Amino acid sequence: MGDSGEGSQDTTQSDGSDDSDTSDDSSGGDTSDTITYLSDRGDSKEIIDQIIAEFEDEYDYTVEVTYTSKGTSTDEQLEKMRAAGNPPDIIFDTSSDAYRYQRDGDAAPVSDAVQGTGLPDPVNVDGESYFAPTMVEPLMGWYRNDLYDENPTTWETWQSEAQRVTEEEDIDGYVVQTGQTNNADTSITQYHWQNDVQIYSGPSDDIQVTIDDDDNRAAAVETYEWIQSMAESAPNGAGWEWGDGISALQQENAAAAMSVGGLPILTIQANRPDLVEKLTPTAFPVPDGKGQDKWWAYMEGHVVWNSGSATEGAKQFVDFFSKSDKFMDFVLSAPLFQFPPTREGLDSDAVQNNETIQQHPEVMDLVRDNWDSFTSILATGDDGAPNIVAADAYGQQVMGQSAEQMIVGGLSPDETVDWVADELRSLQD
Amino acid sequence: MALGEGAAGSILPQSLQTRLKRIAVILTAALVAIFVTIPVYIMVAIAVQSPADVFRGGTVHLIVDTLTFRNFRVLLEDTNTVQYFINSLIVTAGATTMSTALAVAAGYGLTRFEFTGKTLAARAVLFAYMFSPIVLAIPLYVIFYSLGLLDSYFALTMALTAISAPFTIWLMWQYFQTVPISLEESAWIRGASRTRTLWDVVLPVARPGYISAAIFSFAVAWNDFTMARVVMSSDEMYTITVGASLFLDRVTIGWGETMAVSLLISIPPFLIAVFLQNYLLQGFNVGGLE
Amino acid sequence: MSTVQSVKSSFGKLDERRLLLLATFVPFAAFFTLVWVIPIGYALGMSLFQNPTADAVFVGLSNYVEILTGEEFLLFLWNSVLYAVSTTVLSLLVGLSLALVVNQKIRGGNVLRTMMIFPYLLPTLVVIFIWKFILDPNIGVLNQWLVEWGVIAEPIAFFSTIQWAMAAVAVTSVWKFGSFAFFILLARLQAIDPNLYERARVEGASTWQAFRDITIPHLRGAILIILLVRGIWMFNKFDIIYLSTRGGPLNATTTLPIRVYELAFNGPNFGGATALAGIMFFLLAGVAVVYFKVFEPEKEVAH
Repeated sequence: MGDSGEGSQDTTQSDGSDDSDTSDDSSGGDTSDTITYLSDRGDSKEIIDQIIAEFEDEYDYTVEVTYTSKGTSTDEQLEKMRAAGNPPDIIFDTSSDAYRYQRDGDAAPVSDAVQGTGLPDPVNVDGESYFAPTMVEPLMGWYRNDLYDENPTTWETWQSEAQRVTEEEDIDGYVVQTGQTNNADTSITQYHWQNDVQIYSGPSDDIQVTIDDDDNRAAAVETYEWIQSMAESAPNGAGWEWGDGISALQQENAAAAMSVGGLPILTIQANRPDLVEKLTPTAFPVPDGKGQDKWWAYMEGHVVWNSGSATEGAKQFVDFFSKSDKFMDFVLSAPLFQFPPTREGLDSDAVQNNETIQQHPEVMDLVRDNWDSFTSILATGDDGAPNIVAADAYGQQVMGQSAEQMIVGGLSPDETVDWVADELRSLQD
Repeated sequence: MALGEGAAGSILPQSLQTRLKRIAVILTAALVAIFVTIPVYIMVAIAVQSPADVFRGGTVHLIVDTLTFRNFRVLLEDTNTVQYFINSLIVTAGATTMSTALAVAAGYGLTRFEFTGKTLAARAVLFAYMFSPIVLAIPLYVIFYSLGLLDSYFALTMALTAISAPFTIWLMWQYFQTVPISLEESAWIRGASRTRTLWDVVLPVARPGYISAAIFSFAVAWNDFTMARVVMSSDEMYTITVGASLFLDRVTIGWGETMAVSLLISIPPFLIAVFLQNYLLQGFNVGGLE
Repeated sequence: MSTVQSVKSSFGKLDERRLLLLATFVPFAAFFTLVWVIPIGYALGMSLFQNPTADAVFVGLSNYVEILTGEEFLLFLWNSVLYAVSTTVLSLLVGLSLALVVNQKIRGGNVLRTMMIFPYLLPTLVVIFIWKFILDPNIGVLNQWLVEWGVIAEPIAFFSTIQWAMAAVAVTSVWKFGSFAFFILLARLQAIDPNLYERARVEGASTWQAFRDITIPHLRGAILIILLVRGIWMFNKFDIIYLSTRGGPLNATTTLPIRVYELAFNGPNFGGATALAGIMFFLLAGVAVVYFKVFEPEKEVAH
């Protein structure tokens, strides 16, 4: 059954007609009525099981889920299954990964589940959608409102205030994560965005690295200089992942840290309930006079593999999932961390009435006010075109590594820009 | 090497040597006690307190003043911990038994029978350990998939046995070499069969050896992550290490639950350590027969 | 494997003997082939291809050339050797001294023995959680105590500091693996005939001499094999390093297995990953061949 894969790749790609009706696009195998589904959403297992049960009642398929832990273990599982000629039918992954699968000719279109439904369509190639989003997870910072008199907001104020807190209180003012971790990579990228550094430019098929060209070099150096100065008011954050930055806040070793959504408050709620009211969410620091126009948000959802043994069933399941009345329960199984993929979803009663969300209205305000600037790392080509170089760079955490080169390795901000430009260019082919 | 030869040690008078030895013994014992107890205590202290108690005031509190089973309750109610645990017990028991039995039989065979290429074959087996297991996950998956063995206790037990057996066989091979053949010879002369002799004479003598082989194969199986990840693909079949790694990265799971599951994972090792170590110290009790 | 009649075996019945051999070696050979031989062959095969799991292109040895000429290969190799040698030697020393202590039948020896075997039986995952609570700059109690006692002013991020990271990983590893040498050597110590010591004492040998002339020769084979396999395993050790430092900061704890993992799943460059695994394999095999020649670790002291 598995060997139908290689031959069918060409069919899938050349089949990309504008007609969004994909029911006749029998690219994958349909030899099995068991849909295999690879997911790293153990958090939502209960709801996923309920959606599957409803699906199985209506359709003649059964769905078998293999759960993986977050991080690279999905990739590992996928590699194993591919090598055995037994690829999964559906993968829960980020939009960047979806785009990579599409580029490699492994994804089947799910246009029915996306187009005309109001869902964003971040992986649209030649009119076909290859990714059905289910949630967004925006970055967000948290600071101590008892130590900072008000949100410092700008780079300049953050710099002086973090220094003041570090000197006056028994705590570091800020956290600078560096190294090969998602926390480091996302925040360093976001710092560049805050300073309007165009790391890349060009359309999807011709992405250029522009971080060190005439227009951007000065701004990129400035960003690294700012990071360097913030590191002086921060503990050694080399190799810090989300959990480490949160621990620093929780143990009162740092008075502010950039993280993802409400993750810090959810953790601290359990461990240090007394600290919760002293923490306020914030956007990333922004240079004086610049706007908040690009805000990193992960987008995660479903990809259908085109060489599995139940491709048609998989498409039906993805469609069913997105339209299920349990969909919002799925998103809200980790409230404040995962948000619905659409504006309507965000404003829905389900979100409004969620207890955890109601406790932290400031988070929702930030999300609502900045909804339009949410950007996934994939959408960083010209006019938001998919940018595979950026996606690959995120996969290897090049930006996070660049900060480590500077802060641990002692490169100057100028040399760091050279270093990062070299690394990014090596990903171009 | 004759005893009583002049050596560096003999510069010191015997009485001082004895005293030095005594001090060294007590010192080492004390150090180990601290080095092992503290980390284990930390785990226990965090597992039986609520996270809010552990972290209150921004320091880690290790003095347990309010005991709670909250963390364990979360594990039992919200996760498949029990099932994972049972799976681990099944495959670990299977693999430990198989690996130890194989090691005793093969180790005895290697010691008592001569065949060409014996040493070479035994050495060659150890070369398997030299290949980085990280990249073997894919080939292994392909093989187990092709054989239709995915998601079975049998396959995982077998795979774990194959991982520990090369070393346990070596252990037993060497161990049997220290058991004098004269013991068996006298049994044979009395008319006992080879199998009977193995059972009644050789095995009891070899006990410390196969206990250490069993400890090793237990450790391999209980510690395993990679193999279980390759062989098992459904939630009901995961072992505790794989299962725990799945739920521990949930947003709602914190250090309390993490240490609670760690404590649960530590119980079988602890029991093994308590029970088997007695056998390990049965000692050389056949010296008089020689 | 053909068997030849030996002098010793003339006591037993031939069929019984053959049965025993078959019962032992056939299942083992089958498992071994399935779990080791074929996968290793398969992986070595993959190392000759580019993109071996999807659209494989045969590239001969160029993956090997690329890996060997990579500028950081020597650094990673050095890290691997440093880590493997330091942890192997330290865990042997720890295990040996404890086995000698516990063998002394001291009071509380039982408790000590239980405590010593225990860490080795804990899964790495658990070991890492525990050590995070000791060494971490935020939740680590060692830092908390050192700050309280005024030894240091600021918590030290042991796993994030270039000078400390390797040492921190090594200590964590020795904690777990020291007991491996311990329980094997203890079993071996138990196998030494106490009469030997008795006779030595009668002949006027000192404690040191008895140790040198009786204990050490009896442990030789075990020590040699522990050094060999522990060395191999530590050289190939991945999980404990990855879970504590991911190879950082910079490349301070990036050993070859960490690199293999990065190539395999971050790259992804599976051809390169298997090639590097192949290089490590041949390196270790070369060392092992010499080791076997020089030390003959399977030879036990004769009775």
